[in-house]
Amino acid sequence: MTVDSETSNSFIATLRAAPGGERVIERLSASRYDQFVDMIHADIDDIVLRMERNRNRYVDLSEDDVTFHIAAMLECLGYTVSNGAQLAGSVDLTVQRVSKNWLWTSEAKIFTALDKVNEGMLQLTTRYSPGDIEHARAGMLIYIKTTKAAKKMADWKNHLLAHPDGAFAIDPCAARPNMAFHSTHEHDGTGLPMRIRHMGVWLHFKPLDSSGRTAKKYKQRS
Amino acid sequence: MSVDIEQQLLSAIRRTWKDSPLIEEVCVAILDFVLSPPKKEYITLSMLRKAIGLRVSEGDAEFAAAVQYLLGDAAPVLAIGFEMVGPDGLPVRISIEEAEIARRNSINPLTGDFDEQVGEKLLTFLVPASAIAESRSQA
Repeated sequence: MTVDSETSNSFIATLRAAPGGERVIERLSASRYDQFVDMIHADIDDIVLRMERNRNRYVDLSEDDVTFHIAAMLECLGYTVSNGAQLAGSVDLTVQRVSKNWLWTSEAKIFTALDKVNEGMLQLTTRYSPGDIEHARAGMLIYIKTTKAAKKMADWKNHLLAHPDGAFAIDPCAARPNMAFHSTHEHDGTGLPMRIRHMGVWLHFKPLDSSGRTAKKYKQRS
Repeated sequence: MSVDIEQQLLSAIRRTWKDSPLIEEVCVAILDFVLSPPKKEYITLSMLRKAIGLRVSEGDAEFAAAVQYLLGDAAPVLAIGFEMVGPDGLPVRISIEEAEIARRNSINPLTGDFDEQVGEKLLTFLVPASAIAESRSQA
């Protein structure tokens, strides 16, 4: 203790000047894998919200470049992040807490068709995820560069629900009710439950004001 | 301090913040301060600001971003500590898990009582991260 000791409230007030700073104690205190993953999801939500508010900057980026941006923002928060880490293939995004041997993996896809998102889901669930107890959660990042993003997420959810074996249990995501949801299924390899958060990222940008209508670069977007 | 660890931390800082030179500069200044003698055992944010030459309210966002980053796994330079003044007037160390539970539930970790003001009673400070502390003790 010193004469200029700071309270946790004033500490948080100071760190709040940076994006994500209000959650720093919560992030550092994660003592269970579930808490660690919940923090990653909360931090990704903040990053995605900032991207959606400035989507004109991201709409023309490739799938890899959008994922790279999310990875870079997570690294700025202090996470150990990899883009293209090798786990029986090149995983789009991994976040680790090395000291605890915790790993969260994510696959990213631009939504062009349900089949394409499904291909990413298969990569995530049957190739990259080891599916053991400590690595039983993962993420699907779904970049939607067209209109009606919430409907596209609903279509994807219904696609999973329509699986012939009824393999996927779905539950809503309170943090982003229309743009994210959770699925749980039995991991093929281990038979243990694997829980995935499906996160829609709305990156459509086609302004209809007069300068948007005449700008050549917006004309071809749906 | 092992030169290897220092170089690893510096290269992580430079890689992460290559597009934000002000934050990179603050991170490097904090690393230099933590590594410089005497050994640091109790660092407050205000001490840190003064030590790296930031005036009050100057570079608030960059300072906050740098501290948040250096507390994480990517470039572990700092660790966080908590304490509360006990009934005998002496400080009692509180673990980060206890501190977070206390903050979230407004529970005084020393008494177990509901306490809406617990966030004003938990004192928060910084120490060198364990990799730095261990490396210094071996040097």
